[in-house]
Amino acid sequence: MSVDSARADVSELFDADLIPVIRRLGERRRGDSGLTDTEGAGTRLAVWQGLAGVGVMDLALPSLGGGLRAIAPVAELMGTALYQSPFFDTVMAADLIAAAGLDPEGELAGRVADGSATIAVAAREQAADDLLQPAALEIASGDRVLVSGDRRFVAFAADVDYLLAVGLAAGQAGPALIAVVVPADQPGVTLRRHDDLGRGDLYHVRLDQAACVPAGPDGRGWPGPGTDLPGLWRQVLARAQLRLACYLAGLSHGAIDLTAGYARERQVFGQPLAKFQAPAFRLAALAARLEAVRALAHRACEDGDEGDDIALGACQALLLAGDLAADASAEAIQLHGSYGLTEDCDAQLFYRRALVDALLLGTRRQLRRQAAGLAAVRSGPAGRGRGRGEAADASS
Amino acid sequence: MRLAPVAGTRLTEDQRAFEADVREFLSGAEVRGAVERIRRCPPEAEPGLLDIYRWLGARGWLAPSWPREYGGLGLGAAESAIVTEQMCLAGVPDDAHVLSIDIVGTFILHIGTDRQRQRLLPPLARGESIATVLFTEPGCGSDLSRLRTTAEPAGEAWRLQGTKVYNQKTQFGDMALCAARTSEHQVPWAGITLFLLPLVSPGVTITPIENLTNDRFHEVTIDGVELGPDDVLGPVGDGWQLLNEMLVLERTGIDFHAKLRRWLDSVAAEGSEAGWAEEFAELDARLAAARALAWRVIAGLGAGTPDPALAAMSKWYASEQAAGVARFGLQTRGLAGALSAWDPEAPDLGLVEAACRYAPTHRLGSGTSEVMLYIVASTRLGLL
Repeated sequence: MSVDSARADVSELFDADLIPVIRRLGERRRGDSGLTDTEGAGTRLAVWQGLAGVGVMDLALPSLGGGLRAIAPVAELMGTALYQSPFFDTVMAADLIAAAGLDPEGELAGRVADGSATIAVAAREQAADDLLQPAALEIASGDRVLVSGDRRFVAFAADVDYLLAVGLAAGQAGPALIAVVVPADQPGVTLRRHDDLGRGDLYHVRLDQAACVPAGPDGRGWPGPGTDLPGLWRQVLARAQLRLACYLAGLSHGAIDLTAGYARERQVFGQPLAKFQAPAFRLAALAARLEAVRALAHRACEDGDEGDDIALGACQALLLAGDLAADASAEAIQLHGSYGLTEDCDAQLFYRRALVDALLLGTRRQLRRQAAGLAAVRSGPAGRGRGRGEAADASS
Repeated sequence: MRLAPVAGTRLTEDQRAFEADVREFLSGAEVRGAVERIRRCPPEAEPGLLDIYRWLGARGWLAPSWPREYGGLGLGAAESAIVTEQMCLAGVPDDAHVLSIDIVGTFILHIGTDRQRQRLLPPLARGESIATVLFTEPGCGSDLSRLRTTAEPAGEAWRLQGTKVYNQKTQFGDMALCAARTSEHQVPWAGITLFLLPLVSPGVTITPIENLTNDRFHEVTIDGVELGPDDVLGPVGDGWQLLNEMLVLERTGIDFHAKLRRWLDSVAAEGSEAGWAEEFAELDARLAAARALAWRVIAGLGAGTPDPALAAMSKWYASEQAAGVARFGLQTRGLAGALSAWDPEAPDLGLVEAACRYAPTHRLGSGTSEVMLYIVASTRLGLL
């Protein structure tokens, strides 16, 4: 299936009629601690199967012929539709699994490709954890590898087939980063649904001697010796940050578009709200910021597909996209007036999701620190004597 | 409404080689020395027709997208943008370059007659002549439909009468692109015509107006100057439409971005210290986004698909970062940042002090922020 036709099919799936329905999928009542969303389960499954059927995983994964450039517009569409799914985690997990050689036969990759296997990334023990330095996991190696540890804010843990647990485990040479694939449906895995602002599917996962898939070259469950897992994890995280930045750009577009549409219809003081400069200029400024973020994110996608180091660009794109999504969705509520606060109006939905989704791969502070570190490397001894702008040109 | 696709912006091999050549030349001792002399020039002096322009012109780099017969290299929008970006990064003043090549030269190239092109373009491309613009008047700025300068028909000729203000580099210019009213109509934007006005003419009086920056404004009084048919640019009465069409071709945001990048680079050492690093990282991210957006606009120009709304977004986004970058420089440097180039203790020859004076001009020049937002709101969002 060609990238173009797959992308066209996705775009058809997320058509103007279906988008409002998709936005409400996975929306739970406050205080609902049930593990599965029984109401929308059928539609959710149908959308997921539709996406897998048109080859969305092929678009996302280099191992399947896709890449960042190919998936960026799809990630944006998902953002505009506020599509809640295990998609982003599954892609991130599959990316690491492929890069680290955890699935040498490609058995899991095959099932990921056709949509029959989904994976959640479980890397955060505490909310404030820095994903570049995941917290501890306990590993017991006997006949089988067993993993124990707490993981929070794991997306769609109740829906997925596997968890990719990432963390530091004790090794002969001190703590080392490991990544293990854990089947989700087993007694060693217990879940509690968080009740969060986004009212989405984030879970506290407790791993208690949970059996791992005997993956990797020696079947132990983690990458073989000589694999630079921390390096691969950084790259995988950067690519995931870019996909999330695109999702948040799409979300911002959805919020701006919804609000501009409302402003054209809503009559105030004898004319449409859209005729007033104050709201029009605020929306225009958000639209300009949106295209700046998209330009940065898509360029980093292009560079990433060419094999360039995109850690800084990805981090910058996510930082700006997160801010924009929060601002655009808050403006959506403001310009809808009190109607924007109601459950009927998507403005509040954009707002809640934007605030939560922008945190998934790092807080503002973490992203700013990460970017500062990477910028310092760029302008380090090797970069001295050239302006930063010129150093950035090295990859242009 | 669907999001528009984002075109690729990576440079080709040839363009990268061109960029490397331009950068190497501009970082050479000759150019660096010339830039330093400009930065140290006394308060009463002002850079005009620079040696650097002539050096670039001799290589065909001042207007690389122009055909060779007019002094260019027959290259594209990307190469033009590369020169502009690298000039700004190297601290070469680019106002006269933008005015002469990107605005007046581009107008002549696209809508001029063969005679006008042959006569006027080569000296501009060689960096031997400066052309400037006379649009704004005491009573009209962003709204050019209010302009009052008139051009009365006098047989085959036109007689111009009026006052223009806030134009720059006029004291160094040989010619100016001047908008004047050739007929009165019910609709105010009808009847405007573009003229190529020789600045050294009896009847043209140029008076400097000091302002916040080192680049003076001028008031130009045009008192009965007679111009012939060969001094009219484009069809008579089409000025309004031509201005709207042609000014977009100059608007990419790349020059605005590159100037800010130079300001931020100036305080990179202080900015990466603890306590400042995170704020620095955020400004750095915004400038990276401004640059990426500018190159998207340039890619569109190169592909022959200019997007005026995207260009307005790019100009707005880049220029709106100016205040933040200038103030960051001032905060990281403290009072030392307030020292001007004429103070022997000023760090980096007073670049932060200059940045603070130039920052407000970014939101005003080449179309104000409000005009940019108006374009975006009306043509992209269906508002207003």
